[in-house]
Amino acid sequence: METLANNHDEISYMVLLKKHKKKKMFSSIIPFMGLIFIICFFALVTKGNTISISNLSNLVNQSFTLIIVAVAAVFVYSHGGIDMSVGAVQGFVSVIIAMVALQGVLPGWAILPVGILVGMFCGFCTGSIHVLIGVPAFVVSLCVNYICTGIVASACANSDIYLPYAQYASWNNLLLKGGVVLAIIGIGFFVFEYTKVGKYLKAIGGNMNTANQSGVIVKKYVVLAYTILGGTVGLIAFFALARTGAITAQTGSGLMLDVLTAIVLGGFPLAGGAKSRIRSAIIGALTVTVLSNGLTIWGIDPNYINGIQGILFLIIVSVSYERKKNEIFN
Amino acid sequence: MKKTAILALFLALVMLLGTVGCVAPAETNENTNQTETATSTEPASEGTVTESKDNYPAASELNPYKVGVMWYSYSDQLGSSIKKNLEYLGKDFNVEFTFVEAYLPEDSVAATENLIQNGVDGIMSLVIYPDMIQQCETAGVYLGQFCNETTDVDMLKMIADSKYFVGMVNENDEACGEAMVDDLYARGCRNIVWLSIPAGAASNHDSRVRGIETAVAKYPDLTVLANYRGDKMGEALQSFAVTYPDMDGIIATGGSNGGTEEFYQIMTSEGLTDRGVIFATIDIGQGTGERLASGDLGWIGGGQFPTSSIVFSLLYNAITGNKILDNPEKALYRNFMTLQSEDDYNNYVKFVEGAIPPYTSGEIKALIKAFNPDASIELYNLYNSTYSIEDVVARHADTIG
Amino acid sequence: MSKAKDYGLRALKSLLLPVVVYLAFLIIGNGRFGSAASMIVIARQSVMPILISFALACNMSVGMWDFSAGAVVVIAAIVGGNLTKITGLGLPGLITACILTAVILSAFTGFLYNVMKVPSMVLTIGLVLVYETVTFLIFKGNGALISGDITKLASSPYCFLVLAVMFGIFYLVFNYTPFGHNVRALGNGQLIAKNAGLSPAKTKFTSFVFGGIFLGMAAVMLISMKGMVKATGSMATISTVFDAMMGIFIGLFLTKYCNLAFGVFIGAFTMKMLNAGLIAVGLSTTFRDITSGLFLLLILAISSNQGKITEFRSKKKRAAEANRAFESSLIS
Repeated sequence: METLANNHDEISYMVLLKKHKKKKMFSSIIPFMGLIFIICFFALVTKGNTISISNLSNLVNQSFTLIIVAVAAVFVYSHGGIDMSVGAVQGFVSVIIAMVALQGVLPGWAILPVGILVGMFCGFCTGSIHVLIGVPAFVVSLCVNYICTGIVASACANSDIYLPYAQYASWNNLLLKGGVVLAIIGIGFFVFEYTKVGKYLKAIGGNMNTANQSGVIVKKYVVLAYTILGGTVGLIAFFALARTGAITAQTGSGLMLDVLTAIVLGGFPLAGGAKSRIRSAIIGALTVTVLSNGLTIWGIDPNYINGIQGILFLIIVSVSYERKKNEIFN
Repeated sequence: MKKTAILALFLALVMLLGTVGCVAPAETNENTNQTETATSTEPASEGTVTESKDNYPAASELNPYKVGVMWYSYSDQLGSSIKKNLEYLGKDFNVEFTFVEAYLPEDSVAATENLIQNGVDGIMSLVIYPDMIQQCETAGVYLGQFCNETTDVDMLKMIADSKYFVGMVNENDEACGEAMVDDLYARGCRNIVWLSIPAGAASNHDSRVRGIETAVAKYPDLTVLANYRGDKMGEALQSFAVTYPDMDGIIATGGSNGGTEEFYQIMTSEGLTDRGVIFATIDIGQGTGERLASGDLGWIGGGQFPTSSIVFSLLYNAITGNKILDNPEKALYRNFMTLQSEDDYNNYVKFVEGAIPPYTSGEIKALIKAFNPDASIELYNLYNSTYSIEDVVARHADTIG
Repeated sequence: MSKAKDYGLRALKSLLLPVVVYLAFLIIGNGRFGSAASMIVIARQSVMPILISFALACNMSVGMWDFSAGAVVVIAAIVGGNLTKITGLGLPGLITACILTAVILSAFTGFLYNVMKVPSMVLTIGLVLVYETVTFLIFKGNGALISGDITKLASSPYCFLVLAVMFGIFYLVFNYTPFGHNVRALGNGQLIAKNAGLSPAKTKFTSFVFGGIFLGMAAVMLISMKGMVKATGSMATISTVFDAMMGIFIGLFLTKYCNLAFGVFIGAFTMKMLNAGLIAVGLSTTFRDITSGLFLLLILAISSNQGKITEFRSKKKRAAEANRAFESSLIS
């Protein structure tokens, strides 16, 4: 029977729901607003230099690696995983690609799939060891990191490795790279949001046991996630090598933290689950790139750049991170 | 409400850090209130300063230029000395420096893009990669390399064909590695260990190691008991100290950022000084004077940061229309500054690490063809080959009292 | 008697790992590893990583990460070293200043953790950037330099005295105080602990503060060993944390046989011994890193699958018993 009490409860519920939706919307647009804010801020302080056509093309080049790897990292982070080896794998794939390229046996377009396959192999190893042996992904990927770093250091012990720059410079084409980024975003978005791969990974991130009992083959999809990430790292390793023309013992060393920063800055939930979104990775990757680009063009003392990045990181995360009431987190 | 408070607090902190961070490099263009003559008038850390007049134009008479500087880390002792040195020069040349930390290939290429976007007229970098040369060619920005050199054949060809590459200036690291072994051998050391950073981490250290290995091969009665390449040189030295009781000589290929001080500490704490073990290293740290006086320290080299002045002058020449080097693919080599006594170290502190660097702005202006028509490659070679503590003292004894 | 036997057996199992590592390198080290003098050096070199491991152990027991620990140690060492010179208070001044600084910074980290309510991994990675920048802002970015008697804690036997005292503090607090009890309870199940009335926020904050004491002492050891601590950037301090974490992972594995305090101690010492042994054998950096990584993987693989091994053995045992019962029933 309809009573005043019932009506009152319903009204309270509607008010609460509205409040919750507003809060959710606020949290989800904060990273995007953060990106817009820093773009506008740097445009102001550099008198429009950062939004000039030439700098926008620089940004495409500079964000290429991070956007692609961050999009692929979504597959790993969405199920609650982590991969500490992405940078080292980039270095390792670069060494393999360079060795193949310097032999001159394969044409450039055939070397790219070699890189992707080697990257997939590394990701597959990480994922497989993690699921089959049961060692935490953090540790497995750290070990893979040490191994790959060691191999790269060994390869570059006597000198850096250089590719004949002119031969591969055509791969450093802005249109091509723009197309590749868009293609990866498109494919990643489709697979993550509209296929069972993404759905299952989110389910595993939400609650692994529930996902398992619902019939999801957890091990298969976890290994698949790491393999996807490894493959994309192989892809960017090729393009990075074509762009720079050189490999050093530390190639790729900053990538892991950059990816983690991008993921977090985009408002992606580190524990994964249903709230995982590809767009978070893209916004985060763009934020990291724009920050780095803008701070350099602005002329900030390099000793302070990290501090500023750290503080901005903390602000954006604290405001955008979605917290559940009474949630226990680590 | 809480979120807003956090946001406000942190935004205030960001603004504060941004303002502090912006202050240092941005003032060079506006700072034209220097003396009429192109000399620094800041007081030296010790002694008195008298103005040293020269006939070169003052900063106010010079066109403003922008130069980007890429180095692996300005928190490193060498990096911070380079930054301080260039900021000093920037005031008297009316040049604004933009300092960027970049060492990895992708970071370096991105930093080059950003510096070009910043509108720099020249870039000086520790490391050079092919795309950097290409970008500078396209943008018409001059590029130079300092404290390092490129050895890859294809890259040297790119450099040779480049209109905008001004040159490479480096210390002779391989000769320095040899010199350390020669010195220890001359002092009677026959059982040595050597330590270095991981292979491939920095080409300078790799060159020094090559020099060590070349020199060791010259002496059949010299034994290398052990060597170490890694990040924990101090701990390795502690292990060697107990494992090899007959060790009488130690070579470390570098000790910047507190590394030299750590070695000194270990020499004492492990009783190596009591055993008469002699040490040779690069990167002059605090306490070097006492070590030289006591005889623990055989050979020490350092004072590399003025190499940045030499490369800056090559860039400035090119920017002002007088590219000095016709064959920039051949590196110019400079001496390491070596210290032999406590007096040398005291002079080093006074004349090298003081407010006036080893090359004053006037002395660097002497290398600029637009100011000094006699500036030439021969003058550069003279500067490079005569660089030593005696040379700096002789030049600046009147200026720094 | 059986209690003593059980205790002895567990002690043996705890010590098996370091003993195996020691023996392995003693054999292949060709005389360059294993002497008393070299083991004392390794033990001295282990003191700082063990202290940092203690600092992180409480946090990691409840699943929290603290990547900023290395940066806190550097700041504390710089502040302590400089304040000691300014005040002339000598060693007591150094210890007090370092510990106070580290505790204040760790408390700030804990405070931010509770206020911001973001995962500790995210928070502390951001704080690494901020804290490392602080090292450039304090004392004009010149770091700190000390020498003489003040540095004596780095030498033996003083360093072992320090270690013994800090070990005692960790052991007592972790095992015999309400705080230690709460940490262990949280580590076993946060939701259950919370429902039982425990305050996770308060415990985690206290965990950070408690860890700060060990980070402060680690700072004392750092500056005493090196004599000089410089401002550090480019996230270089994170490698200190990774090194300490390796010891903790082994320590957590050893908690089957011994207390966490002993486990962490053994784990950190074992990793140091492994590293020293690899240097003694003459392996390059490449192979040292690879070997360390594989070693850790092996330990954790065994740790993660020990339940399965035990289950397999008990299944085999049950199957054998069933077979015997069946055969005896056939005979009868």
